[in-house]
Amino acid sequence: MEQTVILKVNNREYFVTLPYPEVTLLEVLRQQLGLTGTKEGCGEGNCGACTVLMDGRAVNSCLVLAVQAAGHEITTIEGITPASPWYAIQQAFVKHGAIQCGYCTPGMVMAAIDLLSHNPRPTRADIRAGLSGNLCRCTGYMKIVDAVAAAASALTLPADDSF
Amino acid sequence: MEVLKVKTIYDTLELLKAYPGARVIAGGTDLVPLLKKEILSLPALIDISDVQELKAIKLEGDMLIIGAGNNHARLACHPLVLTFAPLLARACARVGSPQVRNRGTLGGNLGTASPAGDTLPALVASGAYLYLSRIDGERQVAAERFFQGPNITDLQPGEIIKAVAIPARQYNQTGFYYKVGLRRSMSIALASVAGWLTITPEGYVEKARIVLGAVGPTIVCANRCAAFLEKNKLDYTIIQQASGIVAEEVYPIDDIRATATYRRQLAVDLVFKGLEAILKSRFKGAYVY
Repeated sequence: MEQTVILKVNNREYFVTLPYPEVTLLEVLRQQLGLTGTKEGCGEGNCGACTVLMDGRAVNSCLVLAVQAAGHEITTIEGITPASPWYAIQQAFVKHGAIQCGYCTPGMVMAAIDLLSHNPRPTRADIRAGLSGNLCRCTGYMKIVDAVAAAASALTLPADDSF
Repeated sequence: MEVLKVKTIYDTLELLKAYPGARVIAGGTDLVPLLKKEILSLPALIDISDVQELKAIKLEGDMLIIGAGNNHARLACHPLVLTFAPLLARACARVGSPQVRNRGTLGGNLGTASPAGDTLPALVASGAYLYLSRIDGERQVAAERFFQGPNITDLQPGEIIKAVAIPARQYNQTGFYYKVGLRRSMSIALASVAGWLTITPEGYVEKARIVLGAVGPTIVCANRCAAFLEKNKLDYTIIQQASGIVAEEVYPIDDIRATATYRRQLAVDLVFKGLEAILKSRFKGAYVY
């Protein structure tokens, strides 16, 4: 008996037949929906490469069962198009050299969106804390923090409201 | 294995009865890795992640009631928790990572009952009770008696953790919570401590609870340290003696993360650090951490 669920991903509804009941959201995104921007790093919620937004909050999709995602809004890196207000984060990553192999990047961007949508003026310490669930083996993190700080700046008015 | 989504506590309990050996899943941050490694084999999983009845946070008289289905991220910054259960707020902020905190629940942390579980010392030091639901009613257990060993609790088959009740912080209470790990995030505690004191403005300790994590098979209540504090007025000599007593009350082990000796020293130092912070704050009742 096959289980099907309706998943809302990047504002589109998908009818998904689950290969087995306890399949994770990560596997469904990649295998059933072809949304391979989200990566599997560790598969156990430690590295953050699989980070997506669920109702606007960063979660490890390798720990969310696909059935649990039904009824919630999922946003993946594919949802951050040039039309998205958060595209500035990706642009900043490119501009600041924050991408080497690129494997951690989608997760970093999604975690950064959660951070900036709840703390629009983060300090560098806030940024490090907000990204503390995302590992990078290549960059040493400095340029990633620079990029997120630059994106935050680009997305907010200066504190004194000058233009 | 079936995955069954429920909306109410009642349905959860009915399904637990219908599928003996089934487990509930909320955030899945502890459970999913176990399932994937095939350490657990279950007849069914009952998804309680959207049961609203488990997500209340409210003051009832002088108790703060927190539904077990709340995730750590919410508890770490919720105004009622920050004000009336500050140790728990601090502890929740230390669990895992931002992503883990957005899914993992208080009930899950308590149910897993790791010896190093971050919220456990905070709840026990705060004098909390757990409300457990079963098909024929509800029962209460003091947090101090609920945690019995590594991943061993008093939870009976067919029961779920419904909520915790924490005596709301009074004006003359203060405390501290520290967790030391190998990293600042995604780190299992090498040692953790929660202290909660009822104290006079002159520094006389009316009541003390000092509870440690990761230095025993489950949480350790440093009762001799607390009893010593309760006879005394805080000053540097007293807190040095009090923290020294903790060394004899903990049972740490050597493991891949740290040695027993190091953990014992951490336990002593963290208790000292917390008591010192209270001393320096001149008992203004402003909780320190």
